[in-house]
Amino acid sequence: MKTLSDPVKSNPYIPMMAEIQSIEPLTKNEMLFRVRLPEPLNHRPGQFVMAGLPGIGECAISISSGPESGKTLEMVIRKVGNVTGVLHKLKKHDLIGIRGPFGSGFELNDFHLKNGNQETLIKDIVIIAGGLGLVPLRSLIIPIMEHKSDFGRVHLIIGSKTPREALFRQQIQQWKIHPDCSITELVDNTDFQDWDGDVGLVTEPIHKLNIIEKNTMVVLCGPPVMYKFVLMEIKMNFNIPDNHIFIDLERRMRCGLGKCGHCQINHVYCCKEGPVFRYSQLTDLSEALN
Amino acid sequence: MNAYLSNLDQIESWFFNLAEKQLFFLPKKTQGVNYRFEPIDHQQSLDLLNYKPTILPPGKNIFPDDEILFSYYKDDDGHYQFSQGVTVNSQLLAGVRACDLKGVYLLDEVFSDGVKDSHYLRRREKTDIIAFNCMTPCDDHCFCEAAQSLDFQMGADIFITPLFSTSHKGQANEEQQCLLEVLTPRGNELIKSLESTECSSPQDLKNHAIASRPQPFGRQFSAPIEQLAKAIHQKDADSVYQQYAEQCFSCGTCNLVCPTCYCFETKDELNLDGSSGKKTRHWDACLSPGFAEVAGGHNFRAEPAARQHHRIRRKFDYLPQRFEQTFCTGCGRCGRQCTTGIDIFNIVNDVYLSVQESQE
Repeated sequence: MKTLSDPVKSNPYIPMMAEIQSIEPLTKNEMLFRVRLPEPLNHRPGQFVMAGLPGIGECAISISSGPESGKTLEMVIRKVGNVTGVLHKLKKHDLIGIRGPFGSGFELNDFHLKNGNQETLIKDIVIIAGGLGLVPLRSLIIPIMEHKSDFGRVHLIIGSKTPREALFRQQIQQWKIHPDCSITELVDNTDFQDWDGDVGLVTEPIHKLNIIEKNTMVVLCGPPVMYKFVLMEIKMNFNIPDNHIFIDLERRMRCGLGKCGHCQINHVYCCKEGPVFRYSQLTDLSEALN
Repeated sequence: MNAYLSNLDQIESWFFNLAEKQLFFLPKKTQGVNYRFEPIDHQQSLDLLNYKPTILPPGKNIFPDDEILFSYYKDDDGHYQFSQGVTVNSQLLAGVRACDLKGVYLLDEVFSDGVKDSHYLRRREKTDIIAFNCMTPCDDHCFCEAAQSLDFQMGADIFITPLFSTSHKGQANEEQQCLLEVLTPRGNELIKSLESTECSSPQDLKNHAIASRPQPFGRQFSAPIEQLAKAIHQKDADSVYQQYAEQCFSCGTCNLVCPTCYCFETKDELNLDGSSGKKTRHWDACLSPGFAEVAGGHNFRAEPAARQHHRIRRKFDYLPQRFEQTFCTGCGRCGRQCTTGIDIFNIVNDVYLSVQESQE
């Protein structure tokens, strides 16, 4: 066994402390945290961090900023328990602990219109987000929008429960300006609120998609119950190979290092090999989409 | 490496001698019938030959519950200062059985894989192991031969094989010769203080001793373990898992006593001053209901049968895919300690038989 170096530096559980630059309430329970890290995160879209406070606890939180955000990290934290409850009480200039980035994430190359100057690869990118699923997928949408000419047509389907829970609406308006970009925003019901989008489930617009099946990439993220129905709808209407469908899964991450066992999906550690998987990787995993 | 001959008397006094120099753990009978790895004491008569597996496996001394992952304090400027938290002392584990040696070896594999677990590896570096070969199955729960961990000796510094029948009592200690195989440089250091003679033909002596063991040794599966693992991998024998799940209280004892279970939960603790604290890790159990529950309440393994299924496949399918070893050592602890008598041996055997049946 090799002798280990400086204990504190080689200790993967010690977080780096980041300064909060701004906290913006998005909905009743969700806040957008923008923090300044001591060093760039160098993350890939779809990766996550463990965010928290020493002495209080930490939670797995999706990275919501694009990969070129440098030392700035954006994440949306929903208040669901003790730790997120404390995080919601933090203020500008307070410190927050960050470990990561963890997980596989997306490879932007998989979505490019052209591979070098060679053949055309991906002509259509379909991104379907349910509820908080938009938060991690935003880290993929941002670089696509920033370098739109490198990518083909983008079809976004974004669903929320009610208009109150709809996230990033201003930014979505800006995305709509981009060429070849169609965005469908839906709510399950309007709950007597003003709403200029559609009403219905994210499965409903799928059959209307105008895409070239063999040159399409599909990306899904949402609550566990969403996947089965969305996949059924896609499979019924289109012939898209399983390895062209990406699914961003949620599990209970604790260590982020593929050790503690909480996020295991059959033999796969979601925190290491996921949380982004190709559907072809999941078809053998009986626990993946239950 | 070298081999030596010595007798039990000499080995006992050697142990007492070593215990004066470092923290020395040996299985000790506690009140009742159970054994535990405890620091050796001089009143103790050593029970090296016939002790049953300890309640907890010795690997837990290297992967302790409540391990401090880091400690911290906030300085006057409000900056967080982190430190490793604890200094690790060297320890010697003696009387480790082959099954538990394999348990430690598998933990070594797990914690050196990918991001190295410095907490485990630091303790492991400072842990010496003197292992003891088994000459008879320890009780009705043992199935180490079937689980391919009998005679396992990797990871030990010294491996001791008794060269006499351990089932016959009344032999004087000085007639009880043992073979000591030194497997590491650290073992070479340790053996210096033992009164012994060098052995020139250790393999013959060892083979002879092993040949006198009862055959078969402990419980045997209905098929070789490779075939069992294949059946467990190929087919989800839901009805078998369901049947055992119906008896299961989901208490997680089977996980806690297992030499290869290493799942953990982390916990942040704040000191009363409000500006210092620590992060610790605690053994966790995939059999407990909330193990795979996420924020918002969705539970990916809400049913006890799903959790049994996960535990069995983790031992015989998932982890073997990664480390090419079965993660059940046949020590029998889970069956021995289970409140309702659920035994992993029976579950895997039944899964195999149900798969066989369905294929006929």
